[in-house]
Amino acid sequence: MSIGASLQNLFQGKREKALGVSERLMLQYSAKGDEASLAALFDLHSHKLFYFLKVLSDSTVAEDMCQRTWVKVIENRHLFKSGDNFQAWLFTIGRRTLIDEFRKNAKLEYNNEAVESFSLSELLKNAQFSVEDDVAKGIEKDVFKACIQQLPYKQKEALSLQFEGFSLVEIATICSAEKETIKTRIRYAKDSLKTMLEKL
Amino acid sequence: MSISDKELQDAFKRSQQVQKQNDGMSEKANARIRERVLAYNKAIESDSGIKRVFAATAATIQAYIASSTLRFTAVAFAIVAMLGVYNIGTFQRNHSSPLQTAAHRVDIVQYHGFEGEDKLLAGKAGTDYKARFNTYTQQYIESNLVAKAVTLEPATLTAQNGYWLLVSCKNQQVVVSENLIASLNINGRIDGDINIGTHVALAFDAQGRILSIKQSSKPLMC
Repeated sequence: MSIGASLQNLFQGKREKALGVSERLMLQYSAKGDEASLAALFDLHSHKLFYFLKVLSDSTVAEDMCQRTWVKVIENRHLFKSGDNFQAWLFTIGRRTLIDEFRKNAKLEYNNEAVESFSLSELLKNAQFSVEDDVAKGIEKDVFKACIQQLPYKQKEALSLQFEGFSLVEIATICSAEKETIKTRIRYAKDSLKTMLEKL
Repeated sequence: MSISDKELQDAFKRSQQVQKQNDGMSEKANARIRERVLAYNKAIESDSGIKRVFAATAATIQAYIASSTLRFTAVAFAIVAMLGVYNIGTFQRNHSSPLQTAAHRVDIVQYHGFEGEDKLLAGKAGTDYKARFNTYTQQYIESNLVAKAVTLEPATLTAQNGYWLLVSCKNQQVVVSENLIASLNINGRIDGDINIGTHVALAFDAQGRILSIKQSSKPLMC
């Protein structure tokens, strides 16, 4: 083997080492379409995706959107490239699928920019009644989730993604927004959430 | 005491864990999705498996076409095909009617002339066609028997080199000797103004002898 080939292999090896488990699995699935890789990817990420979609919608819609997202992963697996972050790719597909569903059903939650300008007191007033009501009725036993669901759509979207471990740049890419806008949304969301949880 | 960002993050993770471990509905929903997604993948893969088989076969054929073996096979096949076409053509030529196959070919030539003119006419025509010679006698020309025409055949005068060369619809060449032309002309059985390209009507008696050559007013209808 020539020195050039050895160096090339060395660099390729280093690049492969930099890839995460999910990225390796996805690249393997993209190449072979094997069930084992897909099942492993599903087991690693599906709970997080489902939770993310459930925070942004409800259980029924989340289940449907989660399934559609994975179907899109299967159908568009050739679009995944080495160097892409699998979870970011998956959540981007999930988010877009959910938005498409909202648009199809003419739901205004996503497009309503006004919700972002709600005053904190107004938000808290609505949230407190809603969370207490849901918990009392047994609809939502998880108080934290009940609170986060009360946040304006874009705020809870950005905050959920940050809690999932995405960087500001990644969230901005997933949400197709400016980094500063995302930063603002997250700050508002955290302030609101903290206040809601302290009041409860 | 204010809740820190770290506590919020922990609360989020706990909420996720609660859903994963204790929320039976979410767990069942996730299991359902997993089953459907893997089944879909299987269906897609089996479908693309069939496509892969087709693609592999196509690639093999393509590689075979590119190989020198097939080039030789193709050349050999082309030669065999050409020979086949040539043989079919030869067979058809040998077995088909000459009148149908060759508009420009003339197999039957009729010589019309007085006795002793056949050698002269044959030499003038310069052909090796199978010839049929109709012998005319002075007595025949002058007799009253010739008055009755049995058949009329359209023809075109194509040459006037002493003798007349007429081509009928059946591509039969009718060569009429100079002497016979003169004889028919004397007896008023030829129209005076017949030139090359003129359509004429040839009248024959029962023995196939020319009775008259008249100019045809209608174009040659075959």
